[in-house]
Amino acid sequence: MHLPDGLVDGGTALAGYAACAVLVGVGLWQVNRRPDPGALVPRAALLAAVFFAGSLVSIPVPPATVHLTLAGFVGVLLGWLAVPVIVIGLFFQAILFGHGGLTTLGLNALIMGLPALLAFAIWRLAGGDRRGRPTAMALAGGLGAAGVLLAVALFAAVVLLGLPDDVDAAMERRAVGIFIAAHLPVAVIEGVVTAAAVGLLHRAGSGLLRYG
Amino acid sequence: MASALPAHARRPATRGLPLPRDVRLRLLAALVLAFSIALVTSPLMVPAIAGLALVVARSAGMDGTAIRRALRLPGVLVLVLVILLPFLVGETVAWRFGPLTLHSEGLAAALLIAGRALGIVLLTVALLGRVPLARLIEGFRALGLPPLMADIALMMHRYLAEIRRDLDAMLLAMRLRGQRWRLRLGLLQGLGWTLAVLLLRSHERAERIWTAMRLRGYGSVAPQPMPPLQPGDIGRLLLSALPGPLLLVAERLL
Repeated sequence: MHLPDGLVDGGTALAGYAACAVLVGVGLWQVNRRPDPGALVPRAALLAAVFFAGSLVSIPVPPATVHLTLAGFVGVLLGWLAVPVIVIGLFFQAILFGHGGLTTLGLNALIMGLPALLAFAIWRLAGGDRRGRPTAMALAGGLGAAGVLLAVALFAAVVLLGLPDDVDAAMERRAVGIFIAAHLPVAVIEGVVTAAAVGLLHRAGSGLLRYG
Repeated sequence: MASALPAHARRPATRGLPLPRDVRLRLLAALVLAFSIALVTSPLMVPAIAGLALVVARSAGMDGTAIRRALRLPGVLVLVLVILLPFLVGETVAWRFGPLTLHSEGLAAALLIAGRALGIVLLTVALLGRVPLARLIEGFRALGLPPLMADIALMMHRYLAEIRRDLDAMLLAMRLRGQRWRLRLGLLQGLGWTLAVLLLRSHERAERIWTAMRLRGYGSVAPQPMPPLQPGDIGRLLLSALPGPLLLVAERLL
């Protein structure tokens, strides 16, 4: 679910960069207020590498295969650093594999980053790291699934922006509906994978679930 | 010279545009050209986009095979849109075959999207594809990437091969234990646990490496600055990036 280069016009792509720069700036500002922001580097780099590698794993959903987005998972584990880390991961994906693109990097970062930040906000408000294992798993699973659906909705909205104006509006709505419905299994898959991962981290008593 | 590209990325600059050798300028050239192409809105400019991308690719030493390989990258979405748009968009009939009607407006939109996508991908691969990632990150840092992001990117680059190797080994182990690669709860749970174990195993090691790096002084002194830009390289930047804005001027004049 990466926007390729050329699909949206340059103005939209530049607006995506600007909005993404704001989110990255806010994220870094929040992190730099901490006594030792550098201490987060290993966790962030590791998450970026796992985000990158995990999103390359193919899961069979006949007749096709799907890939994990891990936006909710990254949001829960990285909080404010999620968007900067997603930008880095997406840049590597664009350069190494041609997933996404150079001009659409900002838009792709928004598509993945906004669900990650939302997941972080809900996880933090709900005190996910202080809950028991079943509750934490359910919450993380829900956030993983919701993250996919939000990312799909944002992706569809940007694709529609890139299409010519004379596309039939009713057909656009139908296409978006089908597109989102087709991703429901992906949301369920992502929810289960995120819940299982968070469940194991919880059982291991890992500090990774506690942001900061 | 720290910012110069390695020898393999400087293959025969025979014909065409002189491309910058300094990684910072190469990044700037790629961004200017890519965004110039993204800003094109007229399908009439597609031949010019294709010509520019091919000249840059040839100037970067890409042969026919490398160009064909790069052009496979834009992916399924562009292909689907290029196939569907001529049938779904527009009112002016260009060609009718039974129930199928091709519209001129849809054809123009498909041509524009395909031209922009292929042009930008080819340019990106030609200018940045063979630059080592660590060198690209250094270039971004020199261009103003926040230090925290540069550190994360460098460390990620360091872990990436390791994480992918570990992940591949763990997925293989899942298969060898009899896990069938079919969509069912067991597979998804196994994937989630694999990701979590990967994080747990690697996190402690990553923390140790980072602590050791900082104890050896990493981060306490500013990174070694890149060498100053050479006038010749700035000239190469101007020559290689200028066709981008010229493309937009030409579009206005058409």
